[in-house]
Amino acid sequence: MYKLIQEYSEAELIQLVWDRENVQEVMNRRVYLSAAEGRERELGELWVSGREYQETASFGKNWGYYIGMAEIRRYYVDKRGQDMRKLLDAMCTARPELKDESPGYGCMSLYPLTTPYIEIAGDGRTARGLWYSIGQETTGNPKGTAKAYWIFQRIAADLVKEGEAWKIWHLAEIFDAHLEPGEDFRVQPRVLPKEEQPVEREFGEPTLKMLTHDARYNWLDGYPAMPEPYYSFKSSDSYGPEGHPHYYREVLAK
Amino acid sequence: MKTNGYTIEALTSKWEDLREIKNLMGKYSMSVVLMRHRTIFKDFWSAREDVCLGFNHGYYKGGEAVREYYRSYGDSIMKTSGYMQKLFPAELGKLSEEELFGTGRFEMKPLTSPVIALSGDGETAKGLWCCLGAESGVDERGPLSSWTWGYCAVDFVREADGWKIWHLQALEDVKFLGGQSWGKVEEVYPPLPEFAELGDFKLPAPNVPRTVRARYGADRPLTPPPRIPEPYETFKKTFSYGV
Repeated sequence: MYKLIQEYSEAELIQLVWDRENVQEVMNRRVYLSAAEGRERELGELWVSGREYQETASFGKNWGYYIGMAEIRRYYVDKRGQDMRKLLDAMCTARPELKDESPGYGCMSLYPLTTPYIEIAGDGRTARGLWYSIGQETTGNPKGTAKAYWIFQRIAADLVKEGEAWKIWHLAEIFDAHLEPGEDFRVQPRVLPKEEQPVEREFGEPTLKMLTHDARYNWLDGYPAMPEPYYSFKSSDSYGPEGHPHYYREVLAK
Repeated sequence: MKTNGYTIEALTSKWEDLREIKNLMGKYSMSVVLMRHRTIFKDFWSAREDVCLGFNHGYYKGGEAVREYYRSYGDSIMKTSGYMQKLFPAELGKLSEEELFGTGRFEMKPLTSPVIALSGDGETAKGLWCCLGAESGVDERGPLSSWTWGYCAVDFVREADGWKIWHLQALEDVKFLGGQSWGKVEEVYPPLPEFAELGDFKLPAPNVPRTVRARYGADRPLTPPPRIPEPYETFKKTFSYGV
């Protein structure tokens, strides 16, 4: 069941219009905070703050989900900070003149959002959206050079309205390809062991390990699904782990 | 934008402002693709004298400087097209200047991920976009294509005939030759004698030269995007993308 457009009053219609704009704005703000390595600020400003939502928040990639804000912080802020610090320490060991530099030296990333597809729930309390991102991740190294990748991925999110503000509740960054610019895409390996796959290595050890999307087969597994009009939130239809079509097979049946 | 406390009419009016600003930047971006640099200033920029156009290497401050930048850019396009006509007389020899304009050049700067803040007083707005683009042209090195990664940060002002660009920063993290990785040192192609004529033309230098943003290199410290717009009441109470 979902609400038909004819059932909305004028006040509800304009609210619906602004809800869609505000959902998009939250996700766009995330683009810039992420590029600035402002992950702590992002979690504080853009993610859920209510306890019930914090416990069920999730951050998923092709290899599973971090569940709960504490786990998300463990990956998204703490691990990232440790990785950046370790990289800088390695750079400083090789090049002592960098000792006064800060983590992130020689690094750059950007994951812009395009092609928004957003549905606001009929009850106005949640929203879900799907975007495509043509992004890049560039990482410096102790030799003084850098490795750059195009990162093509789908970004899906459930958001919930806390007070007046939309907040991210479940996020899934499901990548299709990472490719080095300037090199023939046809000959770059599609399958790499975890220790050599930079995106998988970066994701670390999630709370729930499962294969959410096999990047070799594009949309064959249909994940993440495109949003459909809906009236109220159900976890089995969400971009959290319970909404994955294999959740029951991977988790409950074991 | 918070919606509580506004009437339906006020919310509708603000949404229309948002739409007009997005459309303005869409038209600006498409005008770059269509190489309408000779009319961009007249079509989209404010009549205020304190307009400002910023790039990585400095600002063009004031109406005359901004106008002259776009006019010169248009001249550079015509210079390339005229040169292509000389190189390909069979295909291009009979074309008029108007028909020829743009030959040999292509530039696209699509804008994504907008964050737009409308002022409380309705007189100004600010917007930030990502820009993943490409440029192709011909210079003293011959035909070349580059990828560009960057940001577009804009202050807008409402005037009698609609929203206008007041200050605009077009900043690049990456401008890199196609077929190469921006993670490596760029292989620079040498000038070619047959294209030497195209090396003579230079755009006017910014009248406020400064490093606004360094392009990415493996030796660049972490460089955040331009400041994200925040809700504000009047322009005096927020920051400017101008100088």
